[in-house]
Amino acid sequence: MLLKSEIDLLRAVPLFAGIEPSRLKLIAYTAETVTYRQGQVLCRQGETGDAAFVLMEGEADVSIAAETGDFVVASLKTGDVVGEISILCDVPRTATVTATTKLSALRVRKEAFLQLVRQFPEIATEVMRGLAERLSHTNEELVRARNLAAGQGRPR
Amino acid sequence: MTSSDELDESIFRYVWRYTRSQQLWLFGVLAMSLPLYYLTLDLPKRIVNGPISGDWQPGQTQTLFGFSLPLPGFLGGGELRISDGVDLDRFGVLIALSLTFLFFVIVNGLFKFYLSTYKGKLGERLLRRLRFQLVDRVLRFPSGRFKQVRGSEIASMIKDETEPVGGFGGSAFADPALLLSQALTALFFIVLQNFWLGLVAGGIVLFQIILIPRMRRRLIVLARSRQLTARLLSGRIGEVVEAIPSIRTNDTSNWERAELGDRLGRILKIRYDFYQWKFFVNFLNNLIAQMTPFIFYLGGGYLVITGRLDIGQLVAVIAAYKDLPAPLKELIAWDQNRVDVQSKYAQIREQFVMPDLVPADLQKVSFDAAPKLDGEVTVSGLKVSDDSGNELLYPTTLRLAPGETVAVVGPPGGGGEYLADALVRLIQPAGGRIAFAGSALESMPDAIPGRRLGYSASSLYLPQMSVRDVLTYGLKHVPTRHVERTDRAEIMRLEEARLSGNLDLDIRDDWIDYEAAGVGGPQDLPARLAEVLDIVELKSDIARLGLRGKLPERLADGVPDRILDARARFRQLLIEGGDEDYFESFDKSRYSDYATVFENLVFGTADPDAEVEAPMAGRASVQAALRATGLDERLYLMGRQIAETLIEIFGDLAADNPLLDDIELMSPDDVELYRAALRRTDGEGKRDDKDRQAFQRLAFGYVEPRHRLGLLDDALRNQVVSARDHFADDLGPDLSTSVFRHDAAGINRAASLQDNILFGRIVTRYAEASGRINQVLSATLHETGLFEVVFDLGLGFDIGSGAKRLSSGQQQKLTLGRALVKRPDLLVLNRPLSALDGDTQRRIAAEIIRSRQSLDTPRQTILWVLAHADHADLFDRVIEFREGRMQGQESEASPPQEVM
Repeated sequence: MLLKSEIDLLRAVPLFAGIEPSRLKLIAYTAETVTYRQGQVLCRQGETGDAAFVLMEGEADVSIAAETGDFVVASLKTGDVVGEISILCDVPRTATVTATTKLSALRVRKEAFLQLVRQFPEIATEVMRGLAERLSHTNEELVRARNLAAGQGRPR
Repeated sequence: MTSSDELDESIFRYVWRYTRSQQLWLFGVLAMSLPLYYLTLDLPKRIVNGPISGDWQPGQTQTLFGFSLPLPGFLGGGELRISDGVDLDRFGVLIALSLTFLFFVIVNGLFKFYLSTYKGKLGERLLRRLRFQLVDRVLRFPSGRFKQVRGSEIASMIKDETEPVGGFGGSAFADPALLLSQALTALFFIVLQNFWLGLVAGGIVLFQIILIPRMRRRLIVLARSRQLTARLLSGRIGEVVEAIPSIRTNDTSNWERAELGDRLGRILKIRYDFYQWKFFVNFLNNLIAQMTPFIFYLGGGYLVITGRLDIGQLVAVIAAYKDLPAPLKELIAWDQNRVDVQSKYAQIREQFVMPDLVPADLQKVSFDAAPKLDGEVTVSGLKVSDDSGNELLYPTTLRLAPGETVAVVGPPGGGGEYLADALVRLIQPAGGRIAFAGSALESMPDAIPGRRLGYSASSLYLPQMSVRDVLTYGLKHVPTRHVERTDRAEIMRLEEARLSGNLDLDIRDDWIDYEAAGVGGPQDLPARLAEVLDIVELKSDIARLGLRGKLPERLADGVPDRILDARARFRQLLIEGGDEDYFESFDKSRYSDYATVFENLVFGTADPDAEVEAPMAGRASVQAALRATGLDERLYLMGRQIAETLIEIFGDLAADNPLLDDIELMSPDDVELYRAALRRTDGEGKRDDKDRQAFQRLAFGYVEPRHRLGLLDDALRNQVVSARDHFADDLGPDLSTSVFRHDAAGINRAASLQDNILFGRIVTRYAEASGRINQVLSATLHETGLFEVVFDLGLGFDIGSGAKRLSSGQQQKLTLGRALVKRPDLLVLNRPLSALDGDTQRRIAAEIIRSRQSLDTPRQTILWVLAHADHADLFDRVIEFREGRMQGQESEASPPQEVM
């Protein structure tokens, strides 16, 4: 995959949509493309993360290990970003990401990503916006789950 | 001490002690040469007075070379004629005398030649002896001494300051003897002519000889401080080199500059003083010498006028006096040299003579196997204090049973480390004693503890050598396998070593004590080293060094073939595992996507150092090939495109922006250069070769999957591949040492073993490719038996000066391994693995305790000063030290082992 098509793809990703084209080029150039076969793992829960991924082709499952076994919490498709949390705040990977088809992704290394956020406020704002959206989404989910649990819990 | 070790206070006594017989021989030869010297002076007079200006009647002959011995009375008196001589006419006499003169000139020259080489050789031997003695003394310095001396100062003393002493050795006695005899002869001759004039000349000579050396005393003082400041300077420079990290991290380089500059200033002042005084003394000396004829003219003239001296005598006196200054001057020069050398010698001696030097007997060469130290170790009342008398370890008494493993815990400086160092005699106890099965450690020769005890600590210095040499260092006490050499060079070598009092053991012999390592001979050693490296978890690191390092100049027979076999096997394993798309083999007829354009062009690799020296794009044969294939323009345009894109992306970043490090193809400094080059070559303007080549250089480094600019199409790839023919036969002289071509049927000498086996590039686009290729590679190595070769190459790895090419963890593992290889009776470890994480330390400690079975040292006692107290449960017994005191009674952790 070439730089040009990567940039087109990045432009379609919400996180990067508002960033001006020359910065997108910079992100794309400092990143690298990696390819995974079906079933290979992009990142594993519990490991320290050193990169974020932007899916460019193919699909992947996000799963969390629980006592009852792994369960899939989300499915990713082209244009989705994954793994940025652990490089932003130095926590171990919160989930395992497994390719469900042949998959290629743009791998943005931690240092490069942090440099970009540090140096270009517009990127930082975009990242924040993305995270805030996800947080409010998570909050809604939490409220819904609580209500559900409360509703189910009382009769028994 | 023995007489072969003495450094006498006086340099004359020192020289005399070691070169007595040679000096006497020198005297003898000198005495023999004197009459000949006299003849070369005398003959010209005879030639002039005889055949040239003498009175000769036509036909008159003269008898030459007649020689007879007068016989004593009891043999009847008279003379015994040995040679009747030859009768010669005037021309005959001229020719004969001239030829005789020529003969004596040659003989005299030969004598001089012999004498000076003899003196030179004598001096060199003395220098070698002195240096060896000093080095020997450094090896015998008491341990405390090393805290006070700086290595580079010692080095400068032994290397530089001894040099004049050696030169002086040859002339110490012979020169003054010769010069004095010459000067005295001339003086005697003057006295014979006229007593008073002789007295005057003698007085002036006496004045010179007494006054000048007195004035030179100041020179001695100056020379001494010159030597001291210079030595301190070299010590300081050594410190600066060692302390570079501190200097860089504290921005003190200018403080260091000022400090060094100040020292240089002081040296300049001293040197300047020295020269000024020296030339003043010389001026005075010359003045006195040249004033003497003034007295002769005045006083002698008066005597002649008043008729008390005839004119011929005066002329003779003045002529004789002319002969006086030369030897006198040389004598004074010799004396000056003596003063200089004497002060240097005294300075050096001061540093190397001390009462508590380790006796030479303790370090005597011993070919006998050292007795085992596997009895009980008793430490009684052991006390250690520092230089100022502070107690570091209060009197401590304990026993170590054979085969026991003891953990010593406590904070750093708690006292355990002093116990450990005292056990291997690294520090001199202030009291108490250590004994092995009843015999005191103190009085043992080094051969016993040095061979039977093992020691490792956190920061042992490793000099530059190979990994193999580090590991076997503890086995090299004496040559164990002596190769008998009887050639001339060897005889000379031994002879010279003995004449200079050096050790005559041969460093070329095999010094490794295989028995101590528990192996039968050289063939079994690598396996033992591998075993030990495995114990300290260093084996795979060493193998990796062998795999990634450059191939050595010489490969053992058959190894290249095995590498080629491994190459084929690797490919096969890869295909069997279905992973061939993870790898891209080099193929003469195909473009390699993961190699750079230049590597594809020459079908090889370029030495990165050579590229820095002179870019490949600028080299004549590359340019010629580009022009011939039409790639010239295409690569130029490609380079321009790269430059445009990179400048578009990075151009508006400040030069120090860390993101610029990611450009890869051009260095951050080059951004502005390329921007200017782009402007210059814009449109149809003329392009100069420099810009052209600069852009081609960018194109040369391009790798499509990595840089992803979409600049390569199949047509260009094919064009590059077909251009390979230009580099197929032989490379031009500008490339032959910097470009190394791939050869499907051969080895690339400039590439690592790994690259030679892989013969291709990992397709890094696949996330799992690197890991998988490593797996397949290691399987290949094991299957083809090449692992031994890899390991062998790893053992040959040069660890660099101060082992700087290894991480500090690796250095610690290596020194620990060295202590294990010699299989000591007592293993003393002083926080040996402090650079490693706790888990690794624990694993290795457990493995070392366990390894006593596999290394066949079941009765080995281990005393381990632990960095982590929680590893103590691995040991039989725990001793705790705090503030220099052993805590509680011995061990509560487990009952003491049965003793006897």
